[in-house]
Amino acid sequence: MARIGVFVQRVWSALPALLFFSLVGARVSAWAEPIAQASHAGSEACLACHGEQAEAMKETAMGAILLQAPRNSLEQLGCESCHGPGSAHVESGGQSLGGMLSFRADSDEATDRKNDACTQCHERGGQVYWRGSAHASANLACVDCHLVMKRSSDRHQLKTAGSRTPLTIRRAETEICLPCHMEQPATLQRSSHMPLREGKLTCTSCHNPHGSAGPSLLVENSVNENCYRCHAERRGPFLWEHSPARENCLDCHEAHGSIHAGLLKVKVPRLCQQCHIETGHSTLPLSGASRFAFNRSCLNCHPRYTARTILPGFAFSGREDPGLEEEV
Amino acid sequence: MRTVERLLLGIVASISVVRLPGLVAAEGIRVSGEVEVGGQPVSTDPDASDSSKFGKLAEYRDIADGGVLPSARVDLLDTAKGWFAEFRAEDPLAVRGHDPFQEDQRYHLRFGKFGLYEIDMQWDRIPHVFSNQARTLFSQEGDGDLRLADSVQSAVQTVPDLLEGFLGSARRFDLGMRQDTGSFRFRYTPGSGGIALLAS
Repeated sequence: MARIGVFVQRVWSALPALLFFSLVGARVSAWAEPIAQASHAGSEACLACHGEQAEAMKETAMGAILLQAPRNSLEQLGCESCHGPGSAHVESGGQSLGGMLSFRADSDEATDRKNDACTQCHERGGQVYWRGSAHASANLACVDCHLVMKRSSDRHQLKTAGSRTPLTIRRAETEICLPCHMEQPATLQRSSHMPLREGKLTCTSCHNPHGSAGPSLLVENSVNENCYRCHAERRGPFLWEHSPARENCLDCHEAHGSIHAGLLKVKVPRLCQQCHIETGHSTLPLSGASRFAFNRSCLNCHPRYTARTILPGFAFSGREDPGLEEEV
Repeated sequence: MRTVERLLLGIVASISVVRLPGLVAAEGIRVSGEVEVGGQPVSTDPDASDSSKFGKLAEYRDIADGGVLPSARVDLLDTAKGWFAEFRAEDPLAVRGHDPFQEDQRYHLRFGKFGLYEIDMQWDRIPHVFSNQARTLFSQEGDGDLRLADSVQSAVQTVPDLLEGFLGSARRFDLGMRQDTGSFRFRYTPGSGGIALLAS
């Protein structure tokens, strides 16, 4: 009996919320009604008024496909494959959207609805992890970075075109990321940096902005796999592994830029001494003239990522040692 | 050495000379392009081994002193049939006494039919100069053939302490590495009517 009482009490307390959502739902349905009623008017109807935009769009891959060489029933809808049925818009003489989807920056359209139009086609390959990705979760719309209606950047239809001066090259892919990721322009100005400002890499060389299975939207499944794409000589296998390096390159390196040589997080020997504090010369206070500290410090004798497959010596790159070499 | 660059530029120049005039005249095909040429004076580091390299600024770049061709692009577009071709060259050449091919050059060729297939080829050269003040007693003869002068060999073997003096006047060179990356990508997305499109 007491349980029934509790149940009734809960229903009673939830009643205002139920009423509110029912009313809002009914209102939204009524609001959305014109969308359901609109039908496809065909791209010719659009071109009557939006011919200029269509001509500009024909120079893009999407324009050429949708307006000239559609491959399936969705693409045959042309403009309406993205903007939705346009009969109501046509009937209103262009005075109202008539339920059509607007991608303009000042549009009140929900981001999900805009993105759903894109993911009708762009849901495979590099976009397969889009749903649930960091950028999707941040309510980012595809059109926040991409431009659809006219040709813009060299590739990927980005809103930015990139810039070039005699001293710096910023590719479109980099330009589009930096306004939001404001820490990176500063790190890229450090003396030791990934060659993005020279235009030899872009953010998308390492990251997939549409989502990935790995951390930090990395293209590969792990940090190290990502680094090995260019630094293949670090992949190994090595006879003597430096386990932290095998675990994660970022244990010692900054990915974007550092004030220390080789993108190191801390200057050597301090970097090495953060772990190697057990015994011997690594723990001693070292003067600048010490052979353990001058120039490349620990790296004067110890190889950067400890090991080669054929050279001998635990912890050493090894001067040629005939005895050991024969053993190997 | 330089075979790839010569081959690439040769192919593009040949196609341009043979095919471009016809394509420009053809109806419905739009040809556009852009070539950037100019000159840049560079105040070099007097300690640098190579006048075109100066410290960190040229760590990943080849900044030439004099005439340069920073970029060139040619675009072909047939909107009626959906064909396209794009060629981009970045930092291909510099007017200078030695090798005119720049160390940080990049080429990109892309062509295909919208929505059906696309062929994408890239060639990118990334220099990484660690130091422009390295010294060596070796002299380079040809590619990778390093020789130590007989006089130096015999002098150092006789009096080892002479080595320090030799190093002081040894040849300077840029210590670094270079990554040449080439890629080829073919993408075919036929869709439901792809076979018919391929035949058209």
